[in-house]
Amino acid sequence: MIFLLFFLFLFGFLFIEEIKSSAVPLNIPSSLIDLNTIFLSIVLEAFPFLLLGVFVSAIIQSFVSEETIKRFTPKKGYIALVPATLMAALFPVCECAIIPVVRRLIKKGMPLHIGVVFLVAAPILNPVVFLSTFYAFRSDMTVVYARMGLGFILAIVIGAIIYTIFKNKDMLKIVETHTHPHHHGSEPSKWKMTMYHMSDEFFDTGKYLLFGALLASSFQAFVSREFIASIGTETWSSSLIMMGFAYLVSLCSEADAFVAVSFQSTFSTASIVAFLVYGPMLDIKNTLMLLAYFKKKFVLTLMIVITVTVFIAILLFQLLFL
Amino acid sequence: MNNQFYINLRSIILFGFAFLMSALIYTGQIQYYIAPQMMKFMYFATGTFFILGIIQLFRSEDSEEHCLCGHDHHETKHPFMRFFVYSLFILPLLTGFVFPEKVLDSSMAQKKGVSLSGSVKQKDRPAQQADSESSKSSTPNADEFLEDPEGYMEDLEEEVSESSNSQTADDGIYDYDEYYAELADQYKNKDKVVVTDDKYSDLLDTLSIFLDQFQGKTIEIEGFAYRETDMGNDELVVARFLMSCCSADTSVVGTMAKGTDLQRIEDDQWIKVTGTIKKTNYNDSMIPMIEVTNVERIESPDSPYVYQDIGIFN
Repeated sequence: MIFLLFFLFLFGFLFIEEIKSSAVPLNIPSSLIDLNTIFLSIVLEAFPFLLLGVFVSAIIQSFVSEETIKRFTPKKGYIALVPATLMAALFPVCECAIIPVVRRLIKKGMPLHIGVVFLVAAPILNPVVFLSTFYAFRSDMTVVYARMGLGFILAIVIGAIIYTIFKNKDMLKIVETHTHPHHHGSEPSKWKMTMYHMSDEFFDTGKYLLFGALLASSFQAFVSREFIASIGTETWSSSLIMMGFAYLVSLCSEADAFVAVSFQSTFSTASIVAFLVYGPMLDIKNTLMLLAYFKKKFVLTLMIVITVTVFIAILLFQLLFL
Repeated sequence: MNNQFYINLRSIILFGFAFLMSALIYTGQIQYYIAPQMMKFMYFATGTFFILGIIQLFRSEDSEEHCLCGHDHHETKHPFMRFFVYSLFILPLLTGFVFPEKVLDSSMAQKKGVSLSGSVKQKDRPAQQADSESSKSSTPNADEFLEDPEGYMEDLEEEVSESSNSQTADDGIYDYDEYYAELADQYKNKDKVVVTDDKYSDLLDTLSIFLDQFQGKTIEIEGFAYRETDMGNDELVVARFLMSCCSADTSVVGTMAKGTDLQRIEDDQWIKVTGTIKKTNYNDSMIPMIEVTNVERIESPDSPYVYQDIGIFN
């Protein structure tokens, strides 16, 4: 049966053009094709970054000892938050890639709240994201500064709240049966092990990514933006709407600025900033990915903390700067 | 079924993705999904899938004992869940190989909304903000215009007479980006603007920022015909999907066009429009409008999308 599947893919590989042209008369509804186009594009775009994430995670797993992690991570409670946020800015990765890495770091002994800071800060405070936001909004720098500034401040605030609630409890799902798997006598080389970890983790995380992409693309293919624009008119409601929208469309933080720009005529600056700050921190696909690694209670708390702090921050931002 | 089965299945799925991606790349169909500037990531992913697939293929259950560190063991054992999970991975492979590609068209454009004034954020004008607040409705601009086509025409005439005023006002409001200024400069002494694919969005941005400078020039532009629900027969938007990374983040940029010739153009038809650049008031913001002198039907272009022309991902 497996070989059947293999030959099916091989056949598809060799005759992709013929298959597709013979599928045209099948009259697949065009909304379904649109859905498929968007679904595949999210998946294909996210895969390299997911692979990168699981690769780094697997490298850490195989080659970096817990002592090294402990030595390099700041761990004095609240004081550690600022350097942690600065360190997060060094990871040029988006939300798909950071989750496996953070999970691995926490497992290797990094404090929980520092991990959370990485989780929320890295997808925003990131050179690529800065540049794409800058390019999209270069004639209105308020948005660019607000996104980066709020990203920085909120990462610290969220980290502090998480630290207050959970201290340093273990919030990872208990998945590994033994923590030192590499001390057996004869075993494959470290590189081979890294590859094994990598593909295992790809499947672990990938299923959530795929499911999230499926939901997000259905949302994009079937819900019109005019409808979204028509529900929120006040600052607070339009900010909430844009946060919800960011959650549902699950765009990569490296590209979402370009989408945000297209909302500029219908939405206030504050709600666009809400979209740009909230989206990278939380969306369908990364919620599902978080649930794969962390306890439900923790994921839920984190979601509430992020949502509330981002919302309050946006209202304050509106009040003070606009 | 035993673990070895799933190990093999995973290997096949990894190969499947490698095959799918390389097939999409060599047939060029990947351009329907991913922007050219992201291609190096696609090569990386394809290669990685091949390597992982091969390694996974030679992985045997015996070596599982010491190397899996429990990864596999926490996977849901329930047969139905397993079936669901693996279906999730196989689904994009099947649809990827089978579903024909289709350029997103006006039905999708309607869902995404169309930007008629370029893709770059321009500063809010105070007047505009006040207006939109008093106008109690938050529906997008297009709707407001469409609800009242007559009023729109009157506004248009008013605006034309006011154009000299708004020019001075605009100067103070826009932060003219050097890049756009340079681009606009290139067309200063030309009578004709040909909007090419590689500069599509940049030119439209420039056009709406320096609208007054471009007014009266001839323009030649290609795109698909898109009409808002209530748009008249002689009006349409010459639209393109603008992609920055992948087709999930496409937005629609378009230019308004008006002319009796347009009546015979049906939605989604690819057209090449030639006409004169005019300025029109579109719900309190000035946008370019083409007064059409000539329109011809064309084949859909090789590259259906236009891309954000940026070096930032490199």
